[in-house]
Amino acid sequence: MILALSILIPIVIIMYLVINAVYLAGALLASRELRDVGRALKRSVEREAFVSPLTPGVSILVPCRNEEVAIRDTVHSLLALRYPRFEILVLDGGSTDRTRERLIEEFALVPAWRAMRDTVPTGPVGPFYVSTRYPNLWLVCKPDAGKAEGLNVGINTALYPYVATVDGDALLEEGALLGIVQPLLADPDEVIGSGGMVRAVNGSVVEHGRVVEVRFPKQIVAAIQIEEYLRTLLLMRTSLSGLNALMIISGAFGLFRRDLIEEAGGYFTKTAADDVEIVMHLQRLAREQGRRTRIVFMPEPVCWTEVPDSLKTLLVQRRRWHRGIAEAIWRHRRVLFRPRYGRLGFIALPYLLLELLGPPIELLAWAVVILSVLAGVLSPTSLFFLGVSFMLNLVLALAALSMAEVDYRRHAAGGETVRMLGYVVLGIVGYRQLLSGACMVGLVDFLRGKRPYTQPTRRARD
Amino acid sequence: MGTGLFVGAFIALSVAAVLLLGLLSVRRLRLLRTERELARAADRLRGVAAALVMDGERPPALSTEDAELLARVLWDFSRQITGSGREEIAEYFEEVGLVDRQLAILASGAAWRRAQAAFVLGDACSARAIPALVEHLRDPDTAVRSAATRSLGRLRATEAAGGIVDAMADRRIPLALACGILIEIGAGGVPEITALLVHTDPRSRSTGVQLLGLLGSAADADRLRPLLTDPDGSVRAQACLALSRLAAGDIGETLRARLSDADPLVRAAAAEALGELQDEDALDDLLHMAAVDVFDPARAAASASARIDPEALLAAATGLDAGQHIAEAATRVWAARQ
Repeated sequence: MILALSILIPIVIIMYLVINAVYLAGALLASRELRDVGRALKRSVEREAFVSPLTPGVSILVPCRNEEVAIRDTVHSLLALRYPRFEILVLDGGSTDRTRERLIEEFALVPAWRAMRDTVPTGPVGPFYVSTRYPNLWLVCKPDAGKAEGLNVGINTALYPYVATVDGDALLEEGALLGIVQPLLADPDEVIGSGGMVRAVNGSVVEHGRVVEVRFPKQIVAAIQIEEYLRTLLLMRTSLSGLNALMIISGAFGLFRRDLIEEAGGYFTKTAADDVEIVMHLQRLAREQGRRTRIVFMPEPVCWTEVPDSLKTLLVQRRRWHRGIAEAIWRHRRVLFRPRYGRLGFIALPYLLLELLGPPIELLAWAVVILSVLAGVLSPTSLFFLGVSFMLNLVLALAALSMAEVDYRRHAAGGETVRMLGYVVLGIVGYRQLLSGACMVGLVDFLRGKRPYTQPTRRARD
Repeated sequence: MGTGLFVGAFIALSVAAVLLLGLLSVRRLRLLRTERELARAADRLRGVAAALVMDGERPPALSTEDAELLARVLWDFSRQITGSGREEIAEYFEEVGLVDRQLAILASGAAWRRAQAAFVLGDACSARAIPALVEHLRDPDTAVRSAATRSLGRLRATEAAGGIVDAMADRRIPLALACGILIEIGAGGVPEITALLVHTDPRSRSTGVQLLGLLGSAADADRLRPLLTDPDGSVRAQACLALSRLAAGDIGETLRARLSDADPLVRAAAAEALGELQDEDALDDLLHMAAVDVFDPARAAASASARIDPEALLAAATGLDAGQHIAEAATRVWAARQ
């Protein structure tokens, strides 16, 4: 065992450090990218886009299931969007709670007919409802539909050439849609999709779909995710976007060309990460057709979303996400390291593979270190590994906070930053390892072909 | 060696963490100070800005920081006002030398600085910046060209319309932005837009038609009619819509002929245009089209029918062969009446 450990220790530790070095490099790239984006935001032409007749209409697709707690706020936030032409299609995938009733009561929905294309196969759809108060608000019901199936119904129903996907518990800021559409307006030939920043709304004060005061949640699990979202989205997605190697646009808030999703055959229904899969699919199709395309992450239009506030729901969510990433990579595995796919095959997908394998490797590294202690073979190298590992994570988290502080801050001034630093430390010790465990289980689920359904639980907003 | 590497990495990362903590603290403290200063100065400076814009009252001597804040307040004001207030703002910025400073920055080597200067010049309201901004429509950097376009719109620079139209046709500036700006410039840009109607690139012709429909008058209709038979479908489609917007004479019959165009995009546009004109003679054709055509033209035909004669549409919706588009349009009519 001692011999096995002596061989295993350096291998695992080196792999772990390589992964973190990639994250560190991502942080450095992101700092430059965020600086440029911050400057560009100060020269916003959103006002001009608002009056331009060439600003395209957008169909907002809101897939939901059992979202009775959040759905009214979500729809209110969408109705308040500042955008010239849009429609809202709430896609109910067979809620068993009062989601439908809540919508009917709140927005005066009445039964209606709605024409649909048959571009993406979806099976029977209905009933439909339309609001008598807001003619651009529709409820489309599709019994027993998962999120991807719901989105496909939305693709077939959508009126406009662009579709935005928004989660049933998400809240968009007033200018979010106009903001996220900017890259597409600036370069409509090349940019085929964009995604916005997602932040945790837990604990904040929400009135009629508007976040009126940003606060920290009372639950530590939710609070730690605030920093985690900043780190993963602001650092990694920004840097990947800058490299044109972005493979994840959060399903909570993304915008795509409808015709290209139709061409891809719609959202893939047999994965837990339809949002990752569709981006991969669109990028892959473009490369196969010889088209230059970009999918862009924007750090500024903000989508507020409810994050899990208990450890159990969080771990279940991460297990599902990780299984989904594995499924998406497996589906597009032929892209890996093929010159034909350029950055997609040599940067984007390998990075995602790193994300997939990172948690198991991290767990293995910790296990090896603990076993070494127990076997009495812990060397100074292993001890320094622990130190380096802690410092790497601390540096990444601090980098994210520093970057977020200037142009992308939402939390109030005062002690909030100090509080966030506390959550950074908590996130590094314990939280991160637990998440790695959940991801590992997700990977095992994928390998065993298990696809357990999990329904996110919602707590009423404060 | 392994230990040495880790020790080195540990020390380097510790230094990085301390530096980042320092950076975070400094940024936080600076932000707090700026926010407090802004809050303190905002009301006072808004009053100073309002006095300048409304009464032409020159601001008192200000500290450098306050002058900078006042400039920001005035830039915000300039985006919301028209008329003599903008002239007062321009005069003030000329007096304090801001326009000259920004014009000098336009020659900077750093693209972001040029872009920022081009943007600020639009809010500074000085027409003296127009020639330099037009020149920067040919800047090698996209951000600078976009900022210059936006500022020319803020300055309502009719004389820049030709440059913007050229830049748009050459795809040097984003199409949506250029169109928004040309609309902001207004009817003064129509002669330059008209030149797009004979452009070799169908996208430019199509945009020209669209803009002429929005900014032109009934007198421009004769220029648009020949484009109803343009070889490109998007141009024909935009011509249908533009002619209906200009409400030019007896265009109904010509548009009805386009309902049988080979391109579904044109049929949809013709249907929409006839709906806009509320052409009762087209109703039967539209109802038929709504029942039998492919998705987009059928949907447009059903919507147009609803605009022309909602009762006829509701009656048609009761028929067994009405189809999903007439049913949807009838639903919309019914829901609007609730």
